[in-house]
Amino acid sequence: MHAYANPTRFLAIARPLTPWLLGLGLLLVLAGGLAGLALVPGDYKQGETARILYVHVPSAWLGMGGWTSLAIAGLVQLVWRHPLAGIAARAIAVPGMLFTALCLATGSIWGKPTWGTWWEWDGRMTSMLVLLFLYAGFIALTNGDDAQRQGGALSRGAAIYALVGAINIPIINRSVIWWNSLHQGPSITLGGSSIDGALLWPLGLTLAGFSLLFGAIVLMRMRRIIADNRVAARLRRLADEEE
Amino acid sequence: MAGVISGGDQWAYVAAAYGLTVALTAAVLWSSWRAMVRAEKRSHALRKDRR
Amino acid sequence: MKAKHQRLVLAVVALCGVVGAGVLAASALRDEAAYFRTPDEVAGGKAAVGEAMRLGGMVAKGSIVRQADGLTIRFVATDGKASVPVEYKGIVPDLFGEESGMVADGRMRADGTFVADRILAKHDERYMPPQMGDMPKDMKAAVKG
Repeated sequence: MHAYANPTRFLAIARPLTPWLLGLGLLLVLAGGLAGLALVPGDYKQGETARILYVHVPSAWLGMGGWTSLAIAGLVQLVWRHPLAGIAARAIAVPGMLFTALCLATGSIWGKPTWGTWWEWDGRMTSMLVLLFLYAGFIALTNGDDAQRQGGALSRGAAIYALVGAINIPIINRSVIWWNSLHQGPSITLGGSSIDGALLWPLGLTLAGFSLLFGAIVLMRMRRIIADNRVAARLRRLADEEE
Repeated sequence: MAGVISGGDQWAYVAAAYGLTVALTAAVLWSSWRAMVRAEKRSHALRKDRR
Repeated sequence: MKAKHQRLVLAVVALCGVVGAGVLAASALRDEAAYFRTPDEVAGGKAAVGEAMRLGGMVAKGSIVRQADGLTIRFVATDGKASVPVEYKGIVPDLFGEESGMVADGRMRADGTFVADRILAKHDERYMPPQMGDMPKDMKAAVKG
């Protein structure tokens, strides 16, 4: 019964939460995007291309944050066998891969006018590309496997894969410090921000907005999996009754 | 002036980055939404069918 | 309860192992994964003459000299500890300029000049409005309070 009680309680929260995350997220992304495009000045060196920052940084944060949550969900599933953990991990994979791909694409679009190249194999870019492949591997591993048909938990292999893949997250984060790289060092650290306040504030809006949208996508995908599970369970029961 | 990006095509790069972000995010949002609505409708119908 | 603890211990041990292996691999890769070499490393004898490599550093202030042919430029790349003269024939990115970072593909010539066949501009982590970029550093500090 443990397995059913939890999704029900989860749905009681997730159903009302989804439209809020969606609405507020869209609003913040719109406000931050418009501010980043029209209200703030360009950068003293990069000119207008610096505006790509407002979509690039949130996608980097969500690509990496996505895998971190995916790994935590894998751990929770592995150790506590919580039925929602596997469902959450499955729901995170696609939006996580989306934002990782957006991070690579917007970075490349920024790199051409700034560095003079679309792509270079430096530590930051290579490790981010590895993250994209990790997501692709996770989706290939979990999409349509036996565990998905049996309620959406992760197989042990998939959960371990999620955990082992997490080693790449600190590598991405530290890559510009450990190795000489073309990508610049971190602009925002615990010590403060080297992005001037006049250019920084729209980033707060888009970071919050895209994070809320990410949450909304994850909730929607989890609700879909739970609904599919219920349909499968009822069909099984019906089939049993008819026999 | 050296050391500063000054070309007239800067906005094209900005537009490409924003356009791609909007398009892909909207696509995933929309497909996740539609899949959820369909699955929940199916689940709901089945419950009404047979208690 | 016991099985759960066992799994937790197992997961933590496995995680530590993976993290340890990752850190070891990363530190072993330290030199291999570097995208470029610094002038200090070049001065330390890490670059053989004629070997294809990448050099990264700041373009020294006042060092860019355009040659008579109008295409070739010479400048000095520095990292504060050592500096290397660079020669390059071609178009540089907009962002390339003095007191700003660059990365060059090329090779060392016997006379100690680095001959580049491609130059990329490296951006630093600072973002600010144009008016502030023109200000001297101490004025910027004054504006920020």
